[in-house]
Amino acid sequence: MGPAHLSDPEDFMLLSRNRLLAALTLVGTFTGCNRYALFNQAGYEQAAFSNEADILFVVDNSSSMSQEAGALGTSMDAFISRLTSTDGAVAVTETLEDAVGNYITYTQDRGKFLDYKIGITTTTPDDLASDGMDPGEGGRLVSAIIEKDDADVAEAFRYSMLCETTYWPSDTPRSNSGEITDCSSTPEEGVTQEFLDCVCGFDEWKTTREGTGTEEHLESALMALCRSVPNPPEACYDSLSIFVDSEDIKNDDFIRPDSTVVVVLVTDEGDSSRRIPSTGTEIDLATPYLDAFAEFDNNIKVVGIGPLYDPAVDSQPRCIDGAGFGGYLVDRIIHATEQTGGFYRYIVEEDAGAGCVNSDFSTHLDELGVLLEDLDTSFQLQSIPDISTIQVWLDGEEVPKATGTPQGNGDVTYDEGWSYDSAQNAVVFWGKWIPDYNADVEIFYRPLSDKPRDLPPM
Amino acid sequence: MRLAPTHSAAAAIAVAVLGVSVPAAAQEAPVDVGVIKRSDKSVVQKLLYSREGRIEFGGHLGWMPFDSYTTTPIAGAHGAKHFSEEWGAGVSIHGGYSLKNFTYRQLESDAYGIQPDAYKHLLGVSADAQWSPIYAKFSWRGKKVLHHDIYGLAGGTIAIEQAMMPDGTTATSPGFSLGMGMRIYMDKDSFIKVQIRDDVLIQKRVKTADTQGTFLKQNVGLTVGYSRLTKGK
Repeated sequence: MGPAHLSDPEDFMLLSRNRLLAALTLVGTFTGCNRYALFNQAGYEQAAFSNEADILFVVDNSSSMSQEAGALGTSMDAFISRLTSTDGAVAVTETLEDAVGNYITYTQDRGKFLDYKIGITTTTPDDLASDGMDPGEGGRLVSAIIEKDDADVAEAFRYSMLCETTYWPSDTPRSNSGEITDCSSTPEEGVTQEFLDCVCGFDEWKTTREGTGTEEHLESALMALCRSVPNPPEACYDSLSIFVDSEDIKNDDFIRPDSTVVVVLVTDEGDSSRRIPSTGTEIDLATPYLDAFAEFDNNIKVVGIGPLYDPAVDSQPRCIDGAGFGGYLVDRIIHATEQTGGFYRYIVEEDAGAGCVNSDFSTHLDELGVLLEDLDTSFQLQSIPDISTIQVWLDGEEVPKATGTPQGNGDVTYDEGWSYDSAQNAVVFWGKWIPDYNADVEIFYRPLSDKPRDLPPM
Repeated sequence: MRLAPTHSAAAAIAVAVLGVSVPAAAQEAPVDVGVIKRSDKSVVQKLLYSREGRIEFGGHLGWMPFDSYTTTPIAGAHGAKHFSEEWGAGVSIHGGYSLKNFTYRQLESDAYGIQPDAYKHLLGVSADAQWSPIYAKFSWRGKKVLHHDIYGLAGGTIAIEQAMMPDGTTATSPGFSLGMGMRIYMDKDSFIKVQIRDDVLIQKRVKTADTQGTFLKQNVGLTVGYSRLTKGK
C-alpha cells in the first residue's frame, strides 16, 4: 500500500488535529501527577516541650459564683506545692552523683522544673460601668502576673481571687465571732466577711464589681491572649471583638513566645461567647475559638471547671442557682477542652442527700498540675492519625514504638519509646526517650482523613 | 499525468539508478545491476548517516521536572546496538538526586506542616528496543541541513529511590519504559540525542503498607546526550 495522498485540505486538517490530540495525550500521560500519601508533620509544635507554662484563669465573677471562686482561691496550695521548686529544680551538677540525682529528680518530679506564670481575668467582656476596660474586663488581667519566683505564689493567687476578682454580694456570710487575725487557713464555715477583711484588708473586698450574667468565657480568654502577645493574630481583630477599640490595653506580654498556655475556665454557667452561632447545628461547638487559638504560635489547652452536666444523660446542668440553661452552652466548654487536650471537671457535686456541695478544688488544681507535667511527655496531634504510619524523631534519631504490657487493673505499662494515647490524641514518650525541654521533636503521621487540610495550588 | 504510488516508487528507483549510470554509459559498457527486489525499493537509496551494524555509546544529562513534589537532575551513560537502520537495542544507566520543589517546600512550612511521602530518585537502569521509522533532514535557517531520525523506544527498567522523609527508606522499583527521541547527526560517527522517556514504576512504600503499600509512579525524564558510533561495516 502506498502513502496516502492528502489532496483534500479537510483531510489534512483532520490528520493534523488527530496528531495534535495524540501528542497532547502523550504529554498528558507523561505529566500525570504521581500520588503520594500526605503526612502531618508535628515537629513545628515542638514549643510544647518548652518548660514554660502560662496559666490563664478565666473566672466567672457573677454574683452566683462568690463561694465557688472563694473556694478556688483558697485551694491553691496543692497546685502550687506540686509545681513550686523545692529540691532539685535548681540543678547543681558538680559530681557524677549530682548528675544522677538530678536526672532522677528531673524524670520523676518534672513539675518542679516548670517555669510557670499565672494570670487571672474574668468572664465579663465589659460591664459598661466605666469608660474603657477595667481590670478583669475584656480579657484584661485583674492584677499583676503571678510568677513562680514570687515570694508566696499561693498567697498572691488567693489575694487576687478573693480581693480583686470575685464579686462578693452584700449577703456574704458573717461569722459574728470577732475579727480574724490569722487568715492563713480558711474558716470551717467557708469564706466569711471577717475572713475577707483579714485577707484583703477591712472592706477592701467590697470594691470588686459584679460581672455580667451573660458570661463569655471563651471570648474573654481570647481577648486576654490577644492582649498578652506583642503581635496579636487576625482573629483578635474580628468585627465582633472588643479588642479592636481597646488594643492599647496590654497584659504585659503575659504569654511567652514558646510557652504552653493553659486556659482554666471557672464558672457555674454555660458559655455565651459572641462568635459562636446561636442557631444551627454548631451552637454547641467552640469551633470559632479553637480556630482563633490556632492562630497563636503557642500550644493552647483549655481546662474547664464548670456546671454539673453530663452531655450523655443530662439535658441541662444540675445543681445550679436560679434559672436553668441549655446544656449546649456547657457543651461548648467541654468541646474546647476535648479538642485541646485539656479536661472538664464539675464545680459542684451532688452529695449523698441529693444536695449540692462545692467540689474539692484542690483535687482539680492538682489535676491541672498533672496536666502541666504531662505536657512534657505527651504530644497532642492536630488530626486523628493512622497509627500504623506514626513516625517519631527526637533530635534526629528515630524513636522506637514502646511495647505495652497490660496490667491486671486494665492499665497498660510501656517500656521505652513512644505510644499513642487515643483519649488525648497524643503521642506519649516513655523512658529514656522522654524529650528534654526544647528538644527537637518531629512526629509524622498520615491523618485518617487522608487530607490534612486545604492544600496549596499545585 | 499522475502516477500511481507504486509507479512513482519504481520511477524514483529508475531515476536514481539510471541517473548515475547514464552518463557513464556514454563512455563505458553497460553495467548489469542485477535484479532489483521489492525490498530494495526505498525512497532513500543511500543514507548519508548510517547506523546499521554499528554500536552506539555516549552520555547524557537531563531533568525529571514533572513530579508533583520533586524535581530531579540526572546524568548517565547509554549504549545501543543497531541491528538495522530501523531496529536496535539499548541500555541506559543514570544517577539522579531529587530536590524538593516549591510545592513541597510550601507544604512542609509551618503554614501547612505537611510532608508528602515522596521518594527521591537515585538510580535508574533500563534496557529497551528502539525503532526508528523516520529518517529526515531539515534546514536550519536555510544555511545548514541537519540529518536526523526519530525513534520510539519501549523496554524494562528498574529504579532505586529513597523516601524524602527522615526514615529514608529505599525502594527498588521495577517497571517499563516508553519514550521517543531524535538523533541529530553531527557527522557520520556521532550525533546529538534528544529524548523524552517515561519510566512507569511499581513502587512499594513501607510507611503506608497497612493502607496502601503499592503505588504506580511515573518518572518522566527529558535528556540531551551525545553519542558516538563505532566503525561501520
